[in-house]
Amino acid sequence: MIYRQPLPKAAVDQGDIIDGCPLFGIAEFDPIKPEYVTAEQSAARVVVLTQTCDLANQKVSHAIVSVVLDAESLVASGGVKAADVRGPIRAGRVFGWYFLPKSDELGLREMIVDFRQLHTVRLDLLTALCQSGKRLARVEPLYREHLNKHFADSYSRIGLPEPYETE
Amino acid sequence: MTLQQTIVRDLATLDEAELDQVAQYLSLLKIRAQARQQSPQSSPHEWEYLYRDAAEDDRSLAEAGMSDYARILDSDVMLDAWCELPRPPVIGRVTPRLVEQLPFDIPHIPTEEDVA
Repeated sequence: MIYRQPLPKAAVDQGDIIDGCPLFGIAEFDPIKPEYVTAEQSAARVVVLTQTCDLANQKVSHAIVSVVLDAESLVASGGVKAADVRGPIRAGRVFGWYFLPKSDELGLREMIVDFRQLHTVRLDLLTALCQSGKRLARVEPLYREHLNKHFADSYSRIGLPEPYETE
Repeated sequence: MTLQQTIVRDLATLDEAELDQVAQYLSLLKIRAQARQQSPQSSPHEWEYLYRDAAEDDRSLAEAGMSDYARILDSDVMLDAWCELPRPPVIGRVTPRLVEQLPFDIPHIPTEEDVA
């Protein structure tokens, strides 16, 4: 119910989970020699966050994607505890992270979307990945809107200096 | 021709992208149906019982004060991500010379020596 496997030819859409997406970042930068920049490449599982309407109306040439990490590996590496995954992260109570459940049918393990690892990726690149079978699943409506609401909340939250007083 | 037959006939004329949208709508209908199953309609008699039951709960909570409410609020507190999650493993590095000369002046970034 949460995921569906679209046809490879189907257009890229919000909520698509795509494997092997090439990502680039600046590894080294020397302000004395700014014309030389060391870039590093990685290939990651990502989820498309750009809204369906922008994609359907061809308003964008690039899509916003967020890195998706394997929850079990994160627990094994000590970054998060299993109880945190089952508790606040799964309940959507941690800004910046979003839990995606496993799917035996599609061979997906539990995942965590890290909204702090955002990239803009060319749409034609994502389309090519989908057509070559790298699209693992699509988060279905309602769930994908829930995902995007949490993404928006993570970047629009306002922390007060201290909670309001109460009697 | 029945409604079902009409729909089946129309489906046969759709292309893959349109079928994809139909599939999305069907999954939305399934979610709605599931939600309805989870909250079955009660009879008026049951509503009256539930209302009376809830009213008693409301009264007892009001008498108990706000401590329970505060506890519930605490359990809903949103947390900030408390660590940086690992980046995907690097599979390649490259240091190209981007341009012969940058089209702008690089501002001087103060170093610790400058500050000293």
